[in-house]
Amino acid sequence: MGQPAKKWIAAYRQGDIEALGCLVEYYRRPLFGFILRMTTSVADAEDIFQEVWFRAIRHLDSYREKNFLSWLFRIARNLVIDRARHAKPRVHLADAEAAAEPTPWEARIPFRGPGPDRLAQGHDLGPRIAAALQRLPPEQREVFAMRMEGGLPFKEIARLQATSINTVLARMHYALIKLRQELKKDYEDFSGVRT
Amino acid sequence: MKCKMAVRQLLLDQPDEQTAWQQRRLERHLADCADCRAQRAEWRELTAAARAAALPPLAAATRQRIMDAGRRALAERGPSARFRRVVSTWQPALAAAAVLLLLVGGLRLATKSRSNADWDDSVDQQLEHIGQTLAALSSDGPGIRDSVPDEAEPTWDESPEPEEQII
Ligand SMILES: [Zn+2]
Repeated sequence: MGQPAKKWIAAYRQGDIEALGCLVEYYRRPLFGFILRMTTSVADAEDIFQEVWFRAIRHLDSYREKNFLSWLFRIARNLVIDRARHAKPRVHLADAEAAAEPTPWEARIPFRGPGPDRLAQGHDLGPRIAAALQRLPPEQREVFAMRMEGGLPFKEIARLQATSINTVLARMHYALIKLRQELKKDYEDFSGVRT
Repeated sequence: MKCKMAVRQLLLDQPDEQTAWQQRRLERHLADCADCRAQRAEWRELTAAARAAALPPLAAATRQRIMDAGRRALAERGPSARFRRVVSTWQPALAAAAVLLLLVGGLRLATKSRSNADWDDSVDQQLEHIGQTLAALSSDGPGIRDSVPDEAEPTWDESPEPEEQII
């Protein structure tokens, strides 16, 4: 946990409401970004974001962990999983399995994307990445989102997913391969380069 | 170092995720392996684009509700508020205890005319029953502690992915 967060938590515990505002703002991007990646609508994401903070506020007095963002992610993922279990219709296992299969030979061919220059010129792949992410199995999407949005160490992600670091690395690997396949067409259209 | 291992290490790109020795070994491999270099460039590009993606703004009302909850939580922390919360939580148990105490008083009056031995046995039984009832009330009654966030990490239902490991 960064020093400012520690300071704000202590200040809020002592009654400084503005410190809570700082905390919410400081963690808005990673937490909201993570939840958005794990849900299907902005409205759902807002609901869960709010509920995460309600729970965090209730339990802030007993908070003792080192990584505050990881703690928020843990609350968020519990809520996301809970909501997914109650949502219908459920993802069909066979579809998800097909989505999880990487194509090794293709995956090994590097693609020439637009490069940072073109991205900086206003070509935002964000929405297409977001759409492609929605087609990943939740475990892989979760690893990708925790890493990309929160910059969590893989060790920490493994702890949250209650699995081994190797499994988490494999999930990240598959996520990248799958995204690369999904975005191949976009990159080609984008840069006019065929891979 | 084999490509498979190099690819795994490419993912570990945060400070402290690799030792200096591992880092040097990876750099040596990358210097000789065009495939892994290309892979690194590709992933860097993809992750940079993902990190730079714009997010929809958070609704002001959502933020407001969080701040309101924060204010309420601070207000409830005051000593008088804590006392009120304890009293209101235990109100049913306290009311039941009061009724039972009245019953004891009534019982005592009603059994006044009996012999001492009878009185003792009967009151002993009644007191034991009252004690059990109060114990049950205390254990079944709502606690004053909030529930803590789930300790066990839930997992996604049906894991469809191949769980094979890359090293
Ligand atoms: Zn290699």
